[in-house]
Amino acid sequence: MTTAHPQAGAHGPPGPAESNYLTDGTGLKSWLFTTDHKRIAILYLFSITFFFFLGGIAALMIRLELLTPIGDLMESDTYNRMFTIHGVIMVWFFLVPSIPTVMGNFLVPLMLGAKDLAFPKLNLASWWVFMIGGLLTFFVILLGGVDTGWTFYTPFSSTYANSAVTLMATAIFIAGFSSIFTGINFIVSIHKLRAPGMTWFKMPLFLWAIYATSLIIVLATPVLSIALLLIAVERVFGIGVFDPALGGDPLLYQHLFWFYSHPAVYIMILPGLGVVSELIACFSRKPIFGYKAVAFASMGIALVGFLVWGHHMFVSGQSVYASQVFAFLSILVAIPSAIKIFNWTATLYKGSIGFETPMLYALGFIGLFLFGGLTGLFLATIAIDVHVHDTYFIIGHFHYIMVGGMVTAYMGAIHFWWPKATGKLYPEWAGKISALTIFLGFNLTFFPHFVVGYLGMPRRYHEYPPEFQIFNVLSTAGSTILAVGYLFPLVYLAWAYKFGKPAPSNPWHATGLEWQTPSPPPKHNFHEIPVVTEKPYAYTAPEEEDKS
Amino acid sequence: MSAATPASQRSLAEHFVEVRQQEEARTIGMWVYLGTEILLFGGIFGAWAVYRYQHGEAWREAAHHMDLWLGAINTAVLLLSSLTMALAVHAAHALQKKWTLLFVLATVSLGTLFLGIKAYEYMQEIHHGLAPFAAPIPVRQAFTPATELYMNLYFAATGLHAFHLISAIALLGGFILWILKSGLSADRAATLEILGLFWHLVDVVWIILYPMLYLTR
Amino acid sequence: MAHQEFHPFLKSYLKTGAALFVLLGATVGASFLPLGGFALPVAAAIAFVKVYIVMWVFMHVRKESKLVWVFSAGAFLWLAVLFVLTMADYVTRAEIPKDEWKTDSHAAEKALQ
Repeated sequence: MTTAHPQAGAHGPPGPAESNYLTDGTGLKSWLFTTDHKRIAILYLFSITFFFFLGGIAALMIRLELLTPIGDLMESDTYNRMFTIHGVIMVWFFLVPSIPTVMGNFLVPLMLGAKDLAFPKLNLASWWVFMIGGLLTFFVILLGGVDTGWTFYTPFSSTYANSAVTLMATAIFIAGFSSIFTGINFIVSIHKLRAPGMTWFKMPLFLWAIYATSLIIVLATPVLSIALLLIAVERVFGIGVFDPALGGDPLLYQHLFWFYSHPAVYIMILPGLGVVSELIACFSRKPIFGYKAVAFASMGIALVGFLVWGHHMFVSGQSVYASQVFAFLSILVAIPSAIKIFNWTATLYKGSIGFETPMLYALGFIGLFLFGGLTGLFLATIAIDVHVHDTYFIIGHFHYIMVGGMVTAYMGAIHFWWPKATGKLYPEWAGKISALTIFLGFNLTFFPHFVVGYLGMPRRYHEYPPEFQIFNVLSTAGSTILAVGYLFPLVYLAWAYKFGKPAPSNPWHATGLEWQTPSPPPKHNFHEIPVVTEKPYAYTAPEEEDKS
Repeated sequence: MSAATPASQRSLAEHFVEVRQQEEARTIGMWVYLGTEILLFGGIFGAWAVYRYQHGEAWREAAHHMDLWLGAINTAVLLLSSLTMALAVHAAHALQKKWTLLFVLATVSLGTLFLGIKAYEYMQEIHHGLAPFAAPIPVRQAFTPATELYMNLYFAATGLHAFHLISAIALLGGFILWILKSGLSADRAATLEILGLFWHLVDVVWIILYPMLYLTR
Repeated sequence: MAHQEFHPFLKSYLKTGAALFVLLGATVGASFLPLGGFALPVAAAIAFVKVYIVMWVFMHVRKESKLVWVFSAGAFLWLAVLFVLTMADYVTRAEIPKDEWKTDSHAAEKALQ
């Protein structure tokens, strides 16, 4: 596919540095039609960064509207469209693809000791399909957006909504294929492309997390596809399957939707858990505590995550008996999640901890994930859920997991593997400032949500009683800090790519095959296929003593 | 299935070490994809289970509107196509171009026959006012809402299945042209095997849809 | 050599095809029997056997690695999860003791007065 390849060899500068994946092939075509997993990762990096800031603009508009109790910035209908845009973009075009498609595409073959993913063309197709879905969504936004909320609940979405629901559902349906292609690629690669000696229990925990994530992707995404397809069929052809006028059950849609969308929460968070396991071990200079327990915890979360979706439907009219079963199963998710947190803290214990930028993100992640997870336990308890359902309490809860957890882990991953991917070092002081800004801005934005939600402020309204204003002002103030925290890395990372100091192949003295190849890696990753003999995370304290 | 043709005849993509590894990767990849197809139709099976439970008697009544014999003939057609598909894969692995083409052509023809019968069935249903989306309002009122719901799910399910069958026919049609243009090889036999898996899956879905929609009266 | 290999398979495939047709006949026939509540389980069981045969013989699950078997069975297992937990809602929904709840709340109101 890289047609520019031979030309690059002929015209390229005969510099001292050997060619790497960034320089091997130039021109737009060599990027848009590349089958190199590392280049596809970069394509995804640019794409999802665009969608992240697009969704972020919608978020800021929401926060701005909520600065005052009255609806002064926008009409209620505009507000509905704004939070739908925010939800759809952030969930399907940032969070779900984020770590798998950027870090996963880049790292899975490197960590396995392979030359590429099992199906490079399918990988490229996944990006194209993603972009078609993404641009269609963008087009729908230009058309005026959709007012159903990101959940597309029937019968509103199927019968009543007068916005471009069908187009938006189609866009998400298309993006689903992109997820599935990526999931298939990772599953098969991890099964079939491990380097000699790379047994399952020598794999980095990031790979375990990606494997568990991919299983969820392929098992859950098709059910969302059919749910959205049935909505589209009802809107376009009048073939109503959820139509209550015919005795159809709108709750059936919710069952199908959450059969995907609850596991999708684990699609979003599991790769983050994998990243944090890598970071904690590296910056504690210790092997991860209880490797197998952490690995199986990923698989456990993937499994149990499929059995809990009914906790989104406690007040919807779902049978109380089913709700009790779902509540019990939901609380079970706390066990594998807690195993991870305990094992990270046990890894930190007596470690030689370094507070480099990625580690700041990792430590922030542990705290924020813990907060999000524990409030999740409240929500799994039926009585409390009935009280705080559809309030800002739940907004606070899932933003602590999705933004505090997932986006923080993503930022940590970007900073950790940036020198590997670009071959350049970023200024450490800038990284630290942005990590701290994000941590502070995040908490200021979302902690008030717990309070105001518990006091009874409902979600999805553009107006609210004046006594809630103080919490909303705090939250809006925090969101501006958060925005600065997310924009700043764009500046210094771009600067670093152009002017940064060259990175050595292993700047963090980390273990793992990806650090044994030059930064940036050559097109085929390794000059020779590595043979793995060591356990993962073979960090030793003496090396640390040598350094100091 | 890599045993059928010697590995030495196969080409190897550069990121694989041996043919067997490449072969297994493709087979597993296809099976994971087929798993997503099973779950896609699973949403429809689940909807059917829920409504069958909720509208028990009304749905048993509604199932009487289906033409059981057209469905049975169509099931037979698809089962036969699965047989010819399996034979085609075997002929391909034995590098017997003539037989391969013959069996793939038979498979495609049977698939097309299925679609033809299905189209006739749809036309009959529309003619009898059994297609709620195409029926004038007085005709619609002759049916209970539960019947209408049944027919809606029937059209959604069989429509999605027909779409998959059309895709499968297109893929096999492309394969025929490919072989006619530049011959059969061990690599192409392996491709046919993967395409065959998809064909069989479309058959498997129909095997479930047939009793579900036609026979639970 | 190719010819010699080909013919035994022809026989085994034809037998499989014949078995599928017999099962098709059986499921159509069974739908005319007065089976009452058993009609659905019988139709489902026959469909399951047919699916199994197609996957096992025509789709070569019997010859492939264990992993293929795991993934093919896994999809159906997850389908079962979708069915069981969704139906868990529907089959217990009618049981919600609405009247009892009303009586109880009245009792609570009285107790407050």
